Amino acid sequence: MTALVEIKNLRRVFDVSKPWLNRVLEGGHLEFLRAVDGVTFDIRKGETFALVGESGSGKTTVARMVVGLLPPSSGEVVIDGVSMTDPRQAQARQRLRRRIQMIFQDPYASLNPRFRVDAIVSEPIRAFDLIQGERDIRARVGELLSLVGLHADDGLKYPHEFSGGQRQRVAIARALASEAEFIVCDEPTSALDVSVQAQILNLMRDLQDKFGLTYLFISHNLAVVRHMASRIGVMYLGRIVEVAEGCALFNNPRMPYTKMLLGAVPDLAMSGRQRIPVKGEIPNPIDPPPGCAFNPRCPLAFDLCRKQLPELIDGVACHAVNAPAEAAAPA
Amino acid sequence: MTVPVLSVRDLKVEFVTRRATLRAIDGVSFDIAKGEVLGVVGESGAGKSVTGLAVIGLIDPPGRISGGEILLSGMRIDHLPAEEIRRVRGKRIGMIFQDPLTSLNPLYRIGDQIVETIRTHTNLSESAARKRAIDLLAEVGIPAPEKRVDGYPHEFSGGMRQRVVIALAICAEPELIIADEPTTALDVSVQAQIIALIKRLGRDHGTAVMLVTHDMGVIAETCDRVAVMYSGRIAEIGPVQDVVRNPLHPYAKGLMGAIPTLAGEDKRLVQIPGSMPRLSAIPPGCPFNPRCAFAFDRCRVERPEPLPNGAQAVACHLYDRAAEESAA
Amino acid sequence: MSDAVVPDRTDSNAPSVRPDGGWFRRAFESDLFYSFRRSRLTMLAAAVTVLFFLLAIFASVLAVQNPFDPAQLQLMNSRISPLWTADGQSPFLLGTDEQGRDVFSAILYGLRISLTVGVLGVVLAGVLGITLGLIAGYVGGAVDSVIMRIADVQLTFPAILIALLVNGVAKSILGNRLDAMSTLVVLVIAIGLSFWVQYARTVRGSVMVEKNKDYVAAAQLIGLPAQKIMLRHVLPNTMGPILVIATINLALAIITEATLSFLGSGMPDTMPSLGTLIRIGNNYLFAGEWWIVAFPGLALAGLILSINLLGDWLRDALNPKLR
Repeated sequence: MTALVEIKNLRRVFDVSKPWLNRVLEGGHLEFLRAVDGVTFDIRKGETFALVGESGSGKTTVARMVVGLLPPSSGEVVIDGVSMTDPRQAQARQRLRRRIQMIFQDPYASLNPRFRVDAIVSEPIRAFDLIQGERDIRARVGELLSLVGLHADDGLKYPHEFSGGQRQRVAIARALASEAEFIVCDEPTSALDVSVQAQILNLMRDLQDKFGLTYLFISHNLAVVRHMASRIGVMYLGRIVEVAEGCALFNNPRMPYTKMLLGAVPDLAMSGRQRIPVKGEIPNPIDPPPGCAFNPRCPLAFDLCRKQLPELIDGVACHAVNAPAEAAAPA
Repeated sequence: MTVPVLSVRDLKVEFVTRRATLRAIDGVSFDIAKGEVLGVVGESGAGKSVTGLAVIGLIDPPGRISGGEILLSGMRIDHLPAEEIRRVRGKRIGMIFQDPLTSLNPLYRIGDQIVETIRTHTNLSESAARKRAIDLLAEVGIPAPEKRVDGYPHEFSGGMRQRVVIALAICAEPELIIADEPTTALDVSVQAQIIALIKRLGRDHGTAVMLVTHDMGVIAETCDRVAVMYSGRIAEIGPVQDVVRNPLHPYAKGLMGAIPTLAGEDKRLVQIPGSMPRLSAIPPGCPFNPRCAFAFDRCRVERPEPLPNGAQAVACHLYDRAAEESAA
Repeated sequence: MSDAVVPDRTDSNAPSVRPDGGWFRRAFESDLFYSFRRSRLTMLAAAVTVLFFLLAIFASVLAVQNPFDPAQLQLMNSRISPLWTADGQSPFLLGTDEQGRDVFSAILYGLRISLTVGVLGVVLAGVLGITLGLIAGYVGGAVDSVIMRIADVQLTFPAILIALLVNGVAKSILGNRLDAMSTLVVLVIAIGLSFWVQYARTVRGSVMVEKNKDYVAAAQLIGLPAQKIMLRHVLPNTMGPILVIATINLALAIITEATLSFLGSGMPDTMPSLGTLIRIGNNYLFAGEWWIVAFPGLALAGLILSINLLGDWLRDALNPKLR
């Protein structure tokens, strides 16, 4: 299958230093937060690619750069052959915009509280001029609302009249309104209760089957990712540390961080499985440890890990995995 | 049989609003024995947090406890005057909340906060209390406690702060700890550490723990028994193994099936249609009946009471009927 | 794909739609209106405010004379005390001044001027402040810094000083050509320029919160232009606090105008506002003709008090934390 989305060496640096005047008066220097640091992956047409990681791993920043809400500091996002960053392709990008949509984490913030639901859902239709005539637009909105499991009459209500799950359905209807093909889902269910989460996840999968949608799925919940994704990238401090097919990652995690993360998930099965005890916490991303960012917490860390950043080779960025001979050698 | 540490009998909590009186908790009963961890699980609006707040006497107007009893080691505490319940709260019941920052004063060193709490509830000297504070910080797994004791809350990471809050909660050696979503704000890897800590403390000190959370995984890892709440009532209560592996109540069944698991293959999740009713629109009879695939006439009229069924107790007419039939 | 999408239509969960009720019914059932009905003081304040506005609007109908048309004044009617005193004469309810002007009629006409200046001043300040605040908050960066530094500098001067300054500049430019009507315009500009800062700051703060919400991101994704996002999406969500400020500022604007007029740099005697009336009446206070100053003063105090009470209620009612 061909890649619909190619992300090439994406990087984003935030200036988190104090304001200039404070720096001059109180001392201190420029500080930069490398939220995303050299992320490369691609998403095939019709698949669900998931980025999973803990807070501060940069997964949401990647999502925002992919849809174009945030300009990357360097690197490139190419969607269906069109660069999202190249100024020469501005016109092609404008046409592309209709085909990319996003579903946000907090359904209470992603719908304008002053708009009625039909206005929210019809806004993309009007913006891209997809349908002419009020009556046809209304019919289409009703159709979209039924598609996501709401009632066509629900368009007359305001967002505050809906529960969290119903709002997320409205947000999905809005994403479908522009006939999008590629939808970036940023933690779409983490604000929802489990029974509602199941409804939304099932709905998203049904819609994927029906319209051949491609998803970039961002989540911190490994079980949800397991359920949704065909391929998964694990992020730690702005880098992808492991990429694998879903089954492979869960059955045979290779990077020690992935193993630790999988071990930490509270388990419903109560299998009493052996797990790697979790050590330490995520370091401050403004001042990450040298070498591999995971080395202070890693049970396999050796000298090289503290000096040199591991490359992503064959789906894993880990010296211990990629150069086991050196790891075994006495330090 | 020994007296349970916490015994809640037919608890009712109401919130008076201008439109109606909303019953957030409607006849909840459970016990927690010494050293036992009871999980209270439910979706938002199920009343799990309100139950916790009611036990520690923190229901603020317009809310009020409108019925039932709460007994702490046999002593009734639900109608104590504010001053006395405050003493009980610090000394005999420890609290851990979701956001550790709300429990810590940002302007005081954490050591001073712990020392103050210890000295309020015991007659230890200043230096003995400080020594105890350091021991406590070591016990909850804070590295270099003799140095960190003089740190301010903002100098700690989220997980470390939650450990400090736990140290505060256990410093007066309480009989009961109420933990309301203690791991929800934390990352998975830190969450596992906090769960292990709470579990260990309960075991080592024989403290009873009431763990309120929406995360069934946390319950399965931590608790001895679990109560599944729905619309202010207990739908099912029993040993955690039984409830998780073999849930009886249709809601509990749906809930377990709705949770994606790591082992779960690429299959559709079980889904319960609709969502929990708002407090202002709880249907008559069993509150779950409009969403229940097995509902029959009686469910729409008569409210089911929790009846024992093996080691579990279930509030569902399905099992009621089964019991009747087998008796006949 | 599997069967049909399982719907989420438990209608017990959401309040039923009331499409037939319309906005009137929604307003009637809203929390705002509820808290309004709960507070007697607020209802009284609202009634008094509305009464003052009605008096001003229908001044020409209610007044027994046009107090500023010299042809209608008779010197023999001068210095009549209020109707209920021993020397009172019909139809001069609140007495007359030394030119035979009916004080009640003068108050009605003065009220009209005061409210006109106040409302227009608030509108000007609002338009200026909201626009600048919206731009500062949404664009950010250097534009934001420049606008907000100007605001900071302006805040170091009292509003009345800025109004005096504007007034003085206008007077020195226009000189004798400054008639009553253009004085009114100058006052409106003076007030507008002295009160915009608060709007700008509030709007900027709300915009900075709102623009980071995901509904704005969703609008950006479909390629809406920035000004459309600002006006359609962001602005309506910042209006709550603006309403409160506008109400309280109306009272402040009226007081500022009255102060300027009292000091003699406001409305002239030929077209007096409440402030001018108080200044004129002040001259007769020690002569025993207290009514010439007392009633315009009472009218001003009552108006300001009721508008402020309304503003206080609105602030509390719109702030969920205080409920």
